[in-house]
Amino acid sequence: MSTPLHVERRDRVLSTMAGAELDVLVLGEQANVIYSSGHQRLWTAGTRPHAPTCIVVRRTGATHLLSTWDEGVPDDVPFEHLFGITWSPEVMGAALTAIPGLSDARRLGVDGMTAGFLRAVERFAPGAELVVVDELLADARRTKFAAEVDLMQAACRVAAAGLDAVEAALPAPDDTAAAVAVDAMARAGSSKPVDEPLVRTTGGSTVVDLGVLVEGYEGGIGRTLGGDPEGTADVHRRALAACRPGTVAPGSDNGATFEVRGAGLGAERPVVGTLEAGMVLSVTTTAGSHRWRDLVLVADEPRPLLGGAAVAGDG
Amino acid sequence: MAPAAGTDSHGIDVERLRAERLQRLRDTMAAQGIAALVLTHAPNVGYATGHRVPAADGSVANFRRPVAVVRADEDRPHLVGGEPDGLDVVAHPGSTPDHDEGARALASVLDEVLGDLSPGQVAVDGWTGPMLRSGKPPLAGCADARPILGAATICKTADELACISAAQRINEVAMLDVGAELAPGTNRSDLAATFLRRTRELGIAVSMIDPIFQPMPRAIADGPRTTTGDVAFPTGLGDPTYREGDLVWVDSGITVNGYASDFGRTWICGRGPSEAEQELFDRWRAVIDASLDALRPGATSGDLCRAATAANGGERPWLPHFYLAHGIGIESAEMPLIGTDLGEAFDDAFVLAPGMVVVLEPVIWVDGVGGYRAEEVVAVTDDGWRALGGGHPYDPFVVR
Repeated sequence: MSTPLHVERRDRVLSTMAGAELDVLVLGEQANVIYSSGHQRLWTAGTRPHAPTCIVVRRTGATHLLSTWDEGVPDDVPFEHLFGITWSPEVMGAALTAIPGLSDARRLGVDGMTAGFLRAVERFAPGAELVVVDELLADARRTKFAAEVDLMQAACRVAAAGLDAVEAALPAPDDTAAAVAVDAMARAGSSKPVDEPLVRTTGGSTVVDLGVLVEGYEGGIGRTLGGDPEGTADVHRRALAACRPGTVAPGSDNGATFEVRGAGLGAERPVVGTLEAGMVLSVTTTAGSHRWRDLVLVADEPRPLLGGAAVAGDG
Repeated sequence: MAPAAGTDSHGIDVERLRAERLQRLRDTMAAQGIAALVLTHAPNVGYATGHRVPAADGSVANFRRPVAVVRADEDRPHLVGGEPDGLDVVAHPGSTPDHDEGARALASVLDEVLGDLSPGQVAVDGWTGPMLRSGKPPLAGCADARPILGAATICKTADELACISAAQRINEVAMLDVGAELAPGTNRSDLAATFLRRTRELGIAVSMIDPIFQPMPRAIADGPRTTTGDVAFPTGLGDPTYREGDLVWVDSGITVNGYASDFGRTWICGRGPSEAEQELFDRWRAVIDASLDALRPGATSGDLCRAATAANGGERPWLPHFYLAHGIGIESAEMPLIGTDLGEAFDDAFVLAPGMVVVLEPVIWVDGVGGYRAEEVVAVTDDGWRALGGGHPYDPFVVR
């Protein structure tokens, strides 16, 4: 039986902690929380105020979670490791103090801070050195496990269902087509958007760009419908085919420009440096008013998550 | 009818909205002895500057956010990065504080704008990883900006109330179509689809929460285990298929000009309420009536809690991990928080005032029968309260 994804990810977090000699992680950023714990919870839009949501202790290997209930919590996080929603800094402080391994932590990793949380840390982990771990964890999350790629592929298929619905609805006002897209994507499996749906008609062509999350993982698709996008589509296919390990992300080609960023538990950072096998990239190709976007797995034979046929066949 | 001159499509005077709330922020800074604010949380940045980050997943919103720097002794706030066009701000080039490059740009602006201040005169609402690495503003010694935002935002201006009311109406209109779709065999994803389509048709780009249509167990023991021993809600998971008689707790929120709405109702799939279910609603209604009777300027949160509890036969009618009521504005739940685990002394010390928004969300639970939950959004006025939104029906329950 294969190792469950949440165990694979947590093991990678624990080995990252060992490599950086971190005793404890106190995490608040959504991607880090899901990656370290496997916790699925209600999706909300926008920036989040920083709050201690997931605590990982290297010595015990235990994950502790801010959650009032056990639904959406992986089986290997015992109920006793949950601390409930609270409005009281005292209650929160007491819950954190009770976690074995925090009070004597020497190096404590954080991915964000508030003045209030600094005061709490000084109480529950006095003497701990604070280590900023946002980059360390972004690096840990960068190359994907097979199960992560599967979830991103599922999310891409939901986005593609939205695109199909838009295509069937055209001609229609852009707002109407966007409404059709979000409806179709929700029925196909995700009501959690990565971004606003984009439907923009200029001249004879309509640019559509859609993105959704499945179990926190991003999928997306961008296409130019109508008009004559064929020239851009060729350039886009070349860009996807160039996403091989050891190369650098493409910059421009024949008047088209590329935006290349990591994709995973939502949007990741723009890619700088050489590509590694197992990264998933969101590649947007723009030429004039035409725009194409696909997610592609970096490999010796780069794999667009929707399959080569979907990329080659459109347009 | 066309909107009046100087107002947006919702009839809101956006210029006046921005000017009045910036003044409130400045007044609060003066009252609390804070010389400058550094704000990174997008709703706070929006409150201070008018800058709006389009609604999106946090992973995208983080990368788009600018930073606001507000000095009490300057007329205009500073905006580092973002899109300053049309805003009355001092614009500084920059990018998100979630990148090292953006944090470095911010650091040089802070040196320039706040160089004469000590850390204790500066309040910050949150540091990103790159800001912690840059050391600007310094983590040690700066004050917490969140109590300042909390105090500034708690009493709404007329324009802020108009935004909340407009958002509430759109939310309610969209839910009329969704409620009509609930039937045996319908999935949660069908209801979410209709809600998102209708709100999009009504001009709302992205919902602020994944809309909740949670079929509830009839007994607590049949639901997820909770740290409180009470009901788990909202879990927001899975794609259940509804069966006849399911009690479905509904919750959604969309925004207008960055101001949130909060829709809450209980629906029944495929039939009307049994007598026992209707009695849940009757008790909920009695709790709402008693709470609203107690709601006026000068009343305390404790007065509301006692009135609600008395109307429920002495049993607290709300979920212990939440509250009897919460405020709403630039956050979907903000001060006043009424009936939380901050405790009775906190509630007794908190005095309600005109302009505060109160979202009452009592829950009536009879183990074995199930629960009724809905939300009422009202604003405290000079002599009582007034409803925000349009007065959505309680179907299939009957007001009797």
